[in-house]
Amino acid sequence: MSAGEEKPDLEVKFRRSLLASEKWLSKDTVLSAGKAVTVGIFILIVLGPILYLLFQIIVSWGDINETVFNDPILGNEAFLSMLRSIGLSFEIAAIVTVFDIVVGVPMAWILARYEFKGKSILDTMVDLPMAVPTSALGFSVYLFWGTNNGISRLYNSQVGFASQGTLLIIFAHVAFTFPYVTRSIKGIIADLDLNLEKAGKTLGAPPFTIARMISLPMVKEGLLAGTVLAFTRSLGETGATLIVSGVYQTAPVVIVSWMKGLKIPTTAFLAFILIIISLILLTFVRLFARRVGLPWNKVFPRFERKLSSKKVTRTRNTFSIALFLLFVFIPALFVIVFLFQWWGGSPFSGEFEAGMIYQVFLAPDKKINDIMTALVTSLEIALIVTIVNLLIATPMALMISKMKNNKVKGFLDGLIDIPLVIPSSALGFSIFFLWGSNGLHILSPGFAMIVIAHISFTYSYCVRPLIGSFDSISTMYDEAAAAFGASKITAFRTVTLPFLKSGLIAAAIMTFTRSMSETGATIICMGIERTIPVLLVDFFEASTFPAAAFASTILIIISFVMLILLRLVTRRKKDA
Amino acid sequence: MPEIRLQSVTKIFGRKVEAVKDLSFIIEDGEYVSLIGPSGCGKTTTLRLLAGTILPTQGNIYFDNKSVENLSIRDRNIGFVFQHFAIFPHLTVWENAAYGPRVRGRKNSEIDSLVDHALKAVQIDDKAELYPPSLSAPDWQKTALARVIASEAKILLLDEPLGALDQKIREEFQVFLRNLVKKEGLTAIHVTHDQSEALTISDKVAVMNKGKLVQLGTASDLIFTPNNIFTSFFVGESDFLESVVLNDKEDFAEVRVGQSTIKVKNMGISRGRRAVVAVRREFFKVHKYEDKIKTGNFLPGVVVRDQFLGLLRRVRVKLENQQIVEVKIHAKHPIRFKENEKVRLVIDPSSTRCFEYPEEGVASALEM
Repeated sequence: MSAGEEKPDLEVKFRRSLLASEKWLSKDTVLSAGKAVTVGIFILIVLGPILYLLFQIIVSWGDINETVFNDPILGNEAFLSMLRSIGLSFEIAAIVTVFDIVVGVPMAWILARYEFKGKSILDTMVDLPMAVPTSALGFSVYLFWGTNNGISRLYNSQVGFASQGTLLIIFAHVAFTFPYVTRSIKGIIADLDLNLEKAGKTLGAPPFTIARMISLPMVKEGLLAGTVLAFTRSLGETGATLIVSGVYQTAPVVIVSWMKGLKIPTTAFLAFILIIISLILLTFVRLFARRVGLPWNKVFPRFERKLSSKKVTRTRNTFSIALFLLFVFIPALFVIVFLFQWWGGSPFSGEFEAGMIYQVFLAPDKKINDIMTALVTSLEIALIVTIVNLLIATPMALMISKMKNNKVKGFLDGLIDIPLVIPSSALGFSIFFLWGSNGLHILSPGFAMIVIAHISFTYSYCVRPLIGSFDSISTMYDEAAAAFGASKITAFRTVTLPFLKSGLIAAAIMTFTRSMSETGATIICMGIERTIPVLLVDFFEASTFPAAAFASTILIIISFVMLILLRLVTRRKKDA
Repeated sequence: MPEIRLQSVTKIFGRKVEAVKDLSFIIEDGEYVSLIGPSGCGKTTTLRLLAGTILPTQGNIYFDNKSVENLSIRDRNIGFVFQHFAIFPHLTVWENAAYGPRVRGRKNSEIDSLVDHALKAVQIDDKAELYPPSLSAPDWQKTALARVIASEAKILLLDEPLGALDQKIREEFQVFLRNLVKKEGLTAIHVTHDQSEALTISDKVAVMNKGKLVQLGTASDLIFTPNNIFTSFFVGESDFLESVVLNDKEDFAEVRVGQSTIKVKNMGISRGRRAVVAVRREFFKVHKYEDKIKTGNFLPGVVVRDQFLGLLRRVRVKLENQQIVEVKIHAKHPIRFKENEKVRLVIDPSSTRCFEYPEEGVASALEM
């Protein structure tokens, strides 16, 4: 500690200049400039592309009018197919959300209130589909429900249970949206004051009535948030849907396929409609979430008493877990089973050339090279995106958390959620539109554009948890640091940052995982580069399933490791 | 050496919430002063104004004749101890104490000696390398104090510093804290809601109400010679007798309460004026009406209730003028009073206070 008494001490010199520069950075003018830059980056990366798209739609309305509504050959066929795809998207999202709530709420209750062996395993199992890249997950669901390798083996059928189309899309979407509802209310249920329920019990209400009338209204906001997230994720998903949709295309998939056909104006218009719908949904939820009442103050004593009986409760719990396993967990990970089935050859004919080993490692096109290149590209992109996002999201989160004007705060807070609800293919398209040849003409599709697209849609994933972390740090630490003469930036470095460590790591892992697994925006913004999820779609379209299964499994393993890391980090935070 | 002076300081939150109104007082160098008062009286706001976490709307604050009201907390060089300590959990006790000199850019050798002195002063040098989460609340408190001492601040501001400790430990800490402040030569200002803590620990106590200073004085000033009706109400408990002054000539003035005439301390209120006589509840003596008593200085009344409170009993007595007063007597007082029993309340004139009747009425004068 007492390194040098008389000789010039490097550490002290360094510390003094660090403190001086931090003091300069803490000046009000410098801080204001920093805030302006933070908002500027947000506008450039997230809002800019969307605004530019809206602007271009208005400016080039003539073009759009011609291609979308009055094509010389097709008439308004483009518009009609847009409406059909949007209709299909909504229908699917609605069905999927209902399933998520019906099975997800009892599941959250089980995880929050029961103690049993293997609870933490079930907990991880529920979260897993969220971390698995949707294209891998869609492929897995397809293998399970749509081919003769999966469920149909149980009844010895030569074809899958469902062919590509609406039902298969629903199955796929159920699998990846399921965790949202459960996750968003599990914590709240666990934190509820049990005395309220006990009070209800002393007044003679059966457990089901208590859960419905006392507990659920208190988790209302969480439930709504989870529901909206599940709904918008289903509405905007691309990767899995590309694989399971066949000719029944949802709106985000239509964007990708029109984009591939370079129908820019029609694509722009569809992206525009999707963005508008998402924004309306977001606004609606933010404005009315608190006011929505869970209706039904009526009580049905006999019926609800029956529902509360041990037998019914046990049946309900068993059903929830069984449905979860059948529709979410097993289909989501079936690809791993498939990989082993097809490891060294076809399980049906035994043909070696059809197996994974040959296709990936031995066939003349050497798919392993493609896979490794794509993996490296994915990792590079995810790493850059994570670092950049932490740098630009931390000041934003700090700014929102510290903001005193509630109206501005609410407004900014709402803007942050935009990338969360907009379909990533629509967001990717608007980035392509702004930065590419149709707009600023700075970038052509490729690595850099993918990076920007990923920064854009992972932004909320980074800012949102950080706001929570900042909010949870008591202001007294800041004041204490200030009382000892620490400048604002010094206080941030020495006091706030150490508190934030686990929050930052959690945000980084979330961002990294999301970037690794995204498909829709990537397809639109990529040039010749392939990320792993996109390569997987390519393999699927080329019908080289075992190779696709190999790539999927790699992705799932990476995601699984990330999920475990995330749990370790957040758990340690809770213990501290 | 710091002397603290507030001059007509006013703090208005938002448009019209006056947290502190026209506050002026002087705290001398090396004095230990506590601020007490009902919640919302402005004591915490006053502390924050001194700390610089908020700036006054009007008025001046001087530390040693240097005006500081526009300096932020960073530049005032004060030591602040928080109710929940606010020690940094990611730093060891030693590093916590070193925080102040480190961020002020002191040399390592200086930091070492400052921290060593501070840790010894609060007797926590044996736990220097431990992290706060592994320590107990009293050690957190000591760490918080060591941090302040190592920062060389000469003004110590304490916001309910003992509020998070158990009663027993709190009493030990009161002595510890006072000795520490005196030994280190600090000027301390201590906000608390615990009157006995304030009266035990400080040289002087400031009573505040509704954003104003009501009285600043020593503990015995506040208890035995309150100079206003609110202090006699808030510090301890008193009954207030509405009266009219009959004679203001001698050491003890004669006042009329209801039908009776009693002698009370003459505090210069002239004949014919309305007055309020304050008597601490413990200072009454209660006798059965038929008992022979030597003094004529009593008020007759009827017992409403005699209630057991633990160490004391509370006797409610209705006076002739229908006012109900509460009297505290020892729990082992030989007589147990029955309902409707006639009694005499004997008053020692030297333990009374006699104030001018407040224009707004007694009730509003006591409003918090």
